[in-house]
Formats: sequence, structure tokens, C-alpha cells
Amino acid sequence: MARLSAAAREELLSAYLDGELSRAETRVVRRLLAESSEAVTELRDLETVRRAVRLLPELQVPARLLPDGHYGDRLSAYLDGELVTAETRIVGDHLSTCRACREELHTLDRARIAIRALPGVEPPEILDLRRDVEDARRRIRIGRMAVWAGGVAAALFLLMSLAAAGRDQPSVDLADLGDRHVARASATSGISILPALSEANPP
Amino acid sequence: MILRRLGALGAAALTLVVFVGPPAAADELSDYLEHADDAVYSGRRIVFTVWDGQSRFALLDVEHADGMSVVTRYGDHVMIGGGKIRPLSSGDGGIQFTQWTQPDAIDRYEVVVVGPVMHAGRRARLVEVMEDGNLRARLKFDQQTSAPVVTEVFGGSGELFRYSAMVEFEPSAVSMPGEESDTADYAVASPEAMDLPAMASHYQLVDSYAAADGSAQGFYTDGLFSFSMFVIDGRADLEKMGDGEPFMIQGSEYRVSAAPMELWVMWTTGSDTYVLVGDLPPDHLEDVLVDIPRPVHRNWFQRAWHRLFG
Repeated sequence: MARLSAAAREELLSAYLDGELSRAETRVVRRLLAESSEAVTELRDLETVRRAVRLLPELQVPARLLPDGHYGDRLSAYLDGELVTAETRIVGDHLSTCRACREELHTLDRARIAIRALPGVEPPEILDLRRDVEDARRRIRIGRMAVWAGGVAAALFLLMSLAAAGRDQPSVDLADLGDRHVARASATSGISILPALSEANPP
Repeated sequence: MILRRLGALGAAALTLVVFVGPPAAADELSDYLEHADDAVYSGRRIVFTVWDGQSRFALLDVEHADGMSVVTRYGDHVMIGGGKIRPLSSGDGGIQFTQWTQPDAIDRYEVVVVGPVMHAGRRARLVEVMEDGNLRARLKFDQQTSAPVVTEVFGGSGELFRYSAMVEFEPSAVSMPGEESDTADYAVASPEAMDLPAMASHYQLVDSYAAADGSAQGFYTDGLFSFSMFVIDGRADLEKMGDGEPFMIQGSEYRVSAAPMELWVMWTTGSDTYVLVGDLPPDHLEDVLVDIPRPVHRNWFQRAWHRLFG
């Protein structure tokens, strides 16, 4: 077997590990491994490296970093001004060079303008909000009416109190009435000729 | 008639030496009462009234002469008679009625002279007053002086309503003030036509008077009992008037106060306060109240409305 270079031998061993050799090449690698302990050591080193690489976490490459990546999902946020400063700059740079994204951005913008121009078309949550506002206003109106009613009642009570204070109840002196009765009765013969005296409000 | 009287007297009367004369003429009751008014006597009288199951007592020192009585009331001497009343001890002015009308002849009561009896060791004459065949009153008159020494008044069911008796008696009076010494200032009340019922049950309105405070007094009598009805402008707070208690009479609520010698009834109508005071028995009182303005009880709103707008 002709002596292989180091690079050719590493390439041959790597392909062997990958199962990418032909049958003849595989017989060559097996004869090499049987004759050379260095080749065995090199093969084991390659196997260790490959195992370690497999254990590494898989890397997700952002689409925008790819050469043909676009910013479709960021264009709406770009229109709404919801991107952070760095993203705004990146998307802006991309739009300056990407025709497809510019067209998508224009389409998005026209659609939003059209939706805003539609009369009376409001999302259900707006209706709920309006209902809440009406309820709140109704409660406020009722509260104001209660305050008014309370005020009127207080004023009426005050008026009645003033009226009661101003309209004196008659003062009735029962002892005087009793004397008037006894005096008058004493002028007429009757059983009242018996000495009787009214006793209202005895001391 | 004799048998009916005997039945009313009962067995006790049979033990007495009973003189049963013919029914006296109707005006004989007036004669007895007038003679009693002319009597001269003095002594101590106990009187009580039974109302609503309870009795009210009073003990009075009495001197009577010339149609006038001097009665000790609450430690004060009060002179009564001839249409006037005046406290003697305090020197305060009194009330005097200068004119009055005599009621029609008594024809409601039948007088039965039962005969001579004894009272406090003195000879007396027992007279029963019947009303529709029922005993209404029993009177004992001192035979010497004609003074009324015992009076019993019965209710419509025959129950004792009022009892009055002289427990000490002297056929003389020693400290009566003379007419010439009566120089006190009297508030004079003269008859004045008032808008009062002419009749209340069988009681006749004989006179009406207007007091200085604007109240009206109607004096009603049936010849034996009497009452005054006072009408005061405005609705008084009855709970502040005397010690009357709510009492239902003929379906209406009145405030009634029983004194030893008379009943007081108080109530309010739509705009007036009524006070009735008199010696009439309870069944008569109920009949009278039916014929005069009845109580009107206002609810809260009505009271407020009338306070505001009259």
C-alpha cells in the first residue's frame, strides 16, 4: 500500500466513519488500521470529536441573517412603531435593499388605511367598552338623581321643621277648662250640685 | 210598677221600713236637686269613680250654704256656685257665668221615692232615679237639711260608676264667705252662638260660650248629668294633655282620663282639638260621642302637609 499523506489519511478515516467509502476503499482503511497503531489512534480521535459535536445544542439561525431572509413578521410592528430602536434600523436597512419587503410593507399599509376608512365597523371589544361606558354613565346619572332626591328631601324636612316650629300647637289648660265646666254646671240644678271639682292635671 | 221597684230593691230592701209612694212627677227630681242646692251643711265627703276596672278616690272638706260651696282642693279652698268658681286661698281671679239658660223639664228620668233611711246616724230619704226601667242613680237626702249625703250613679249594665258620701256631716256651715266679701276679679263668660251640635244623644245644648283664647264651650245637660264640650282651634298634642290613656269608644280612639268626680275625653279632628268633661255615666258618654265630631288620625304625610300648608 503506498504511503498516504496525513491529509489523505484523515479524509479517508473521516469518510470511513461517515460510511461514505466504497467497498474497495473500506478494505484499504481496514488494512491500514490493522497495520498502523497511529491510524487507530487517529480514528479514535475523530470519533471523539464527532461525538462531542453531536452533543452540542442545535443552533437556530435567524431568518433575517440569512442571505435571502425577509422581515414579513416584523413589517407590521415596523408600521406601528413598535420595534425597538435597533430593530427599526435593521428593518429599515433591509427595506432599502429588499424590493419584496417594500411591496409587502406597502400592501400592509394600504390594508390598514382601508380598514380605518370603513364606516361603523368596530371590533366587539369596542362595543363592550361602549356598553361599560354607558353603564357607568347610567350609574352616575342615578347617583346624581339620588343626591338630588336627598337634597330635596332634606329641604322638605327643613321646611316642615320650620313650619312646625312656626305653627304652634294650641296650648290647652285642662285645669282652666275644668273650672269653666264646674262654674257653668253650678248654675244649673243637677247631680252636679254635689260638690264636684275637676281634677285634670292634679299637682 | 210596684213589683218592678221591689224587684230592683232586692231582698235587703225588704228589711227596711219601706215607704213606697207613687212614682213622683218628673219635675220632682228638679225639686230635690234644687232643695239640695239650698241646703246648709258642712263635713267631709268621700267620692270615687270606677273606670276601666280601676277606681279614683278623693276626700273633700265641704261647706255649703246659699247655693255656694267651699271645697278644699289640693290644700286650697275653692268657692263654687251660682255660675262661678274662685280660689279663696291664692287670691287668684275666678270665672263667672253671668247668663245661662235653664234646661227643659226633665222627662227622661223617673223618680221613685223609696222612703226614709238612716245615714251617719241621721234620718235621710232615699230616692231612686230610673231610666228606661233601669236604676241609674240612688240618692240619699238628709231629711233635716235636704243635703245630698249619698249619691250612687250606675252604668248602663247596672255597675256602680260613681259613689259619693258625706262621711262627716254637720247641718251648718261656719266659714262661708259673704257675698259682700266677694270682690275678686272674675273672667266673665257670656252666652254666644257657636257652631256646636244642638243635641248630643239625649243631651241638650243649653248654652255656648266663647273664651278669650278663642275656644268654644258648649254646655250640655239632660237635667241630671251634664258635660261641657270645648272646641279649641288647632290640633293639640294629646299626649301632653293630662294623664289620659288611649281608649276605644265606638270604633274610634280617644284619650280618656278618669278623675274622682268626672271623666275627661280628649281627641282631635282635622283641624280642632276637642275636650269633653262631665259627670255623665259611661254608656251616656258613648252615645254622646257618636253624635259629635269624631277623631281624625292623620298619617305622617297628612301631618306634614297640614303643618306646611295648614
